[in-house]
Amino acid sequence: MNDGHAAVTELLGAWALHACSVEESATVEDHLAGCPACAAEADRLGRAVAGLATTVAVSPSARLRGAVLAAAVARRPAAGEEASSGYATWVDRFDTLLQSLTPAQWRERVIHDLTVQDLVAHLIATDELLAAQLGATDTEAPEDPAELDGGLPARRSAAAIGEHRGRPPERTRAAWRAQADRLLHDAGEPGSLDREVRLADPRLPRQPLRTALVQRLFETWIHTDDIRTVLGSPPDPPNERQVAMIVAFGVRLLPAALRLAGADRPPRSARLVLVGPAGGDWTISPAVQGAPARPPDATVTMEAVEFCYLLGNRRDPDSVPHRVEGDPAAAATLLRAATTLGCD
Amino acid sequence: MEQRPSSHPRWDREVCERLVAGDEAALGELYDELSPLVYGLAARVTRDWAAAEDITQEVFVRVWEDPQAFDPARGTWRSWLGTMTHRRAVDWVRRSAVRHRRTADAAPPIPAPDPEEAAVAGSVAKSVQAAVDDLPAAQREAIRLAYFDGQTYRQVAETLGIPEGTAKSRLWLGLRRLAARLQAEGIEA
Repeated sequence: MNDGHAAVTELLGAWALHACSVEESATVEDHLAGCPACAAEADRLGRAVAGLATTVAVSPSARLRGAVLAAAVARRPAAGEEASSGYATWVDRFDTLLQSLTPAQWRERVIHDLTVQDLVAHLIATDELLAAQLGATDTEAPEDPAELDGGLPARRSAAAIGEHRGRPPERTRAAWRAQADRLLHDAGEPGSLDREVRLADPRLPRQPLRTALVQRLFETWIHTDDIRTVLGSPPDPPNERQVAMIVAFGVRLLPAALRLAGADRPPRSARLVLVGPAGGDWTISPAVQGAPARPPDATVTMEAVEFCYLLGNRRDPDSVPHRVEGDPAAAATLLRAATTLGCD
Repeated sequence: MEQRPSSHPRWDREVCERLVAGDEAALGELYDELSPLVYGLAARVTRDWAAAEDITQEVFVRVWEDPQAFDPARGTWRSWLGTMTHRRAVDWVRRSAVRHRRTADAAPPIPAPDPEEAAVAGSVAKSVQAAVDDLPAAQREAIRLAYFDGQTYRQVAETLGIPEGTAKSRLWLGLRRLAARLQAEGIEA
């Protein structure tokens, strides 16, 4: 044992009680980082200190609660408010873009052989899958099991496209906008954001409305981007917070997407490292929660915003700029599953 | 046995995950569960109601801004918030001591623990209090000055008229004894 160790040992009690000088605290903390014995002792003393606090509990005045919660969400908006305001932003942007289009531009082919007008009709159909759930009364409409398959969005979309072809584009735009405004209005009702709803793909697990709104934000941005690309306008990606919400949506639903793709046997897992603004580090496993964690079979690294394009099926899993370490098959499975979380 | 939600280890993890997801209701739940601990401790150390409210707000806003700073594998919300609160309260005391030297006589009365809160903190608070009461008087007094009055060990030495080394060892031995007793009784604060 060296002198440093002895000096730290005799300071541990004072340190645990925040009764050292700043310099002494720094010395203790440096030592703890490299000394498991002292760290364990510090942990034990810390538990005793935590116990002391329980003996002086006093309820604050009732008005403090509201003030604290308001101050908190002023610093970091709650997820629900952020998702609905983010969606409202992209509704406005998409609408501004649509209103700037000439009749010829409305007929331009955008993607999958769809014209701009077809694409707006498609968006009406996928928005409607959510809007109809909010408009519904409290008594759940009985679900037709035959409807709850992965083909539902595509069938609804094809029907809406057929319906809108031949109509003046302005009517298609107005119908989309009116429904989006209704959706935002219904989402603003007290308690709505926590309500569990189906996503566009009804096979995915139900999610709170705030998560479903992120999917709406995401799809509205993707289609704005589709049209801007055809017009030759530069990309206008979501801001960092919006990218973070889309990433969180993707990370949350990827395990279910992997299971739907039948990629859970064997249950290979992958670590997803997203870099750049809104980046982060996640381990994605198709195993249901509670299953023993196992080390990831592969690590996939890419830009967070590229991951958003991948989720929208606007990047090819093979050619999206990314790096793989470990099992290439596990990585490829993850990337393919990601492309199914959009609304095509 | 008390059945507070915060007495279940899963609660700590779930609240953390919900905070990370931006679920405001989780912050409300954490506040309802632990604001008496945070506020009571801040009030006890600062002896200033307004400062205690400010510290309570700072602590919960900070948790909302950066919930991932809390690691459920390393401890409970109760101990994490207790540490954050104590640090801030002690900083407040040391800052205000620079402005005007406070004396024990001039200090406003210490808020008495609310009987209802005593029930809330329940068996944990009672057991901790009993364990503190059973400490040797010299250790108990040193811990009281350091923890509840926010004194440094040097100030504790000065207050008690003992060498600094003695103050350090009384704090250490007292805490060890307290930790051993709580561990033996299976009390997880």
